[in-house]
Amino acid sequence: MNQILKKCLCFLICILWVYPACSAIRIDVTGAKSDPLPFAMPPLTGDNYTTRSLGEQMTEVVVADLERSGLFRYIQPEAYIQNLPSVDHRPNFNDWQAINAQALIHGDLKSTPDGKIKVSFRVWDVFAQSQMEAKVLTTDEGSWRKLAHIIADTIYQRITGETGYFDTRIVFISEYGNQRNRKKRLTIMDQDGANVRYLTDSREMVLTPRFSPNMKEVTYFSYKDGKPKVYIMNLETGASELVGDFPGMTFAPRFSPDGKKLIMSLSVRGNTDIYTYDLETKQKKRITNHPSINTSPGYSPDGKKIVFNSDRSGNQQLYIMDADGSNVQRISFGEGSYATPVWSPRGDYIAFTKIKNGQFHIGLIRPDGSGERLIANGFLVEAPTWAPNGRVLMFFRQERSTGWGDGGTAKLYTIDITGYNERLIQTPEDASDPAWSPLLH
Amino acid sequence: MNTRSYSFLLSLLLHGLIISLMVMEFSWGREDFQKTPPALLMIDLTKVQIEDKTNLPPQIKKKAEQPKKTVPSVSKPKQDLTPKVSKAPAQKPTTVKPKETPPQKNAVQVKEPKKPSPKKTTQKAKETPKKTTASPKKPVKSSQKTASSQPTNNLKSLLASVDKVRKPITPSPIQTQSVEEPVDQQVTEGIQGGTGGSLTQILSISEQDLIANKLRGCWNVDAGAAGVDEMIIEIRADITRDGRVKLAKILNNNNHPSFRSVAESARRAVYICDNLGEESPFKILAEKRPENYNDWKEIYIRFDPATGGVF
Repeated sequence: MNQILKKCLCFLICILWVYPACSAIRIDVTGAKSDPLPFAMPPLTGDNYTTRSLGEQMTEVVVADLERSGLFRYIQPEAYIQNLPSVDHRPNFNDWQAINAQALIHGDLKSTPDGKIKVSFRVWDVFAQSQMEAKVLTTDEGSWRKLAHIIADTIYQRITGETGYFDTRIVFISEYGNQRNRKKRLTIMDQDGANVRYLTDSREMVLTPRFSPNMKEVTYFSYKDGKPKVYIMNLETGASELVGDFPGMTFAPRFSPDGKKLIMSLSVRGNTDIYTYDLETKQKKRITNHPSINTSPGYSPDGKKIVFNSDRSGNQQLYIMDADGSNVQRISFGEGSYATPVWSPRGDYIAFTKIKNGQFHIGLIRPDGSGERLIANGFLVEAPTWAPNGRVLMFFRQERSTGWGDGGTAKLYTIDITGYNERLIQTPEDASDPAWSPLLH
Repeated sequence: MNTRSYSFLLSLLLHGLIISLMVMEFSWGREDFQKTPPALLMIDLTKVQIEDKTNLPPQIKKKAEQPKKTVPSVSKPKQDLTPKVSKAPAQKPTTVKPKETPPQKNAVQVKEPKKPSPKKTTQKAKETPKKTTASPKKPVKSSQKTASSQPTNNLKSLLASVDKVRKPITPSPIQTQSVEEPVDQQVTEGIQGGTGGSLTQILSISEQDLIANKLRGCWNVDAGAAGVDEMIIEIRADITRDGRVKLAKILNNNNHPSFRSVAESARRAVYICDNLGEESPFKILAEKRPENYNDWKEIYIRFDPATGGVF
């Protein structure tokens, strides 16, 4: 009896004690808006004419990088109230809050006695009135563009929490001429379209270039010497080398995440299967063994899985298997046919091309087959490739050509995985088959 | 006989327990800050109704306020992600101070009625603040007079309060308090003439929604950030008496690389909303609940981007 009374009393006391503690105001904020973050960046100041001019150019590159990501909106310097004296000066945050700048980037550029340039910059959270990042970077004057991209990457990473992708390159196919006699060249450039360099001449037909993880090589498919084969080109020397001695046609090559192997399709007597080729031991290994067409293989970021497409079910669908070819699972079940799957470096999505009702689409699907969505379309959109942070995709879009072979322009585009912010990448000629490099720094 | 009396006593105890639970609105245990489902807010609505009309004497109120001080200690283990945050408060007051001066009139009004006798502040004294400021001694006398007729008043108001405890159980009296009609202006019939307002629920649901919606509009999240749909950010905002944010602190942590930026965006939302001037959601508190400053000087905000969707 006493025990029950004691328990009840304890219970009541507990309630009385805890109840007032619930009274603090709690607000549940569910949902948010997703607008580009407004930021201010006065041009990098310099200590002489050269550094001032270079500072302005670098600021333009940084601003263009951040704006192109779709996550940032630049506030033009005309709107700035405060004229910041030096990089070590704490900003008057009220002046920047007044123009609704949520981030402020302020830096200067100095030339060092050994002929290099040194950039010091700070990233401020204007509303929290705190410093988010401060860095000093030094490089040769000739590498100022790369330095600007690294600054943009640093800002992007600090504010979004994801690694940047601005100090990267794109390898792609430059195209010109009539569609009936199209000339194609292997080309490399910075991700913003600068520093274009041609790697092959237009005598050989090249397709599907892919970077190696260490950025030193590019593998591609070419009709060099009249036979369709896979090659590897060393980017430093420019020398290209035939991969393996396969009996049939090899195509759709990709490097493994460790860069030690190539995975590709081999077509022998009408049967297409997936093979790996060890670049050290020069040994090939058959991964699929099925009478249907199995092609477009690509590794998962950890190298444990392979995604590919196959028509074993009647039309082209996406499949996943273990790296040794076992445990094959179909992941796409939608209408139309699926092609060119590419696993995101982030691991959360697989990008693909979908052909449905005569239209091409670029889409995303989760590795377990859920969450399929289409993010871009066109008469011909193909060859999705991931930015190294898995946030942005690049692909090419080709317009319809006339019966005479005129038109049919092909251009490169980037798009955010949210399906927003599609941007044209300027190239000197038509462009197709892009492949995004890993982050360079 | 023994067993009968034993069972009678037991049933009496259990009945007493159930009644006490009803009085406490079945809100046993502390609501988990992280897992509070939005639906529970409906239960809070009834709390507003009850507490508005069952005014507790200031002595009990004082006692009840004491445990509230334990709330920050509960959240102590959850420390801020960035040590840099500590830099912000040191400089914030310098910018906030000038803006604090205009609404000080409200603050003065709140303090004045407390001066004569904090235990026996009557409604009349509240309704006529001019008189109290002109002659602060008079309200004390009037309250002493009313004290003589307390026993009968106590019984009546106790019965009335019991009736009002029952009322919210029926669905009809559940009426949300609109923002235009602040609770503190309602005349209440409380024990010993309390000041109205609520011990447990300071804001009505619509006021909470208004604050949440404003914060939602201030919150800018990168919709494509990895793992953003699984993140919940808890922030404690320290509010000044005039409704300005003194400090917003991120309380929880997460190993996800994107968490810091999403959490910082939530903290930024608090500051951006604070900068909206008269449109600031925190001004609502200063305007509508100046007398409850101790209750809202710390606000716990739970940011959940996934539930409401990113628009």
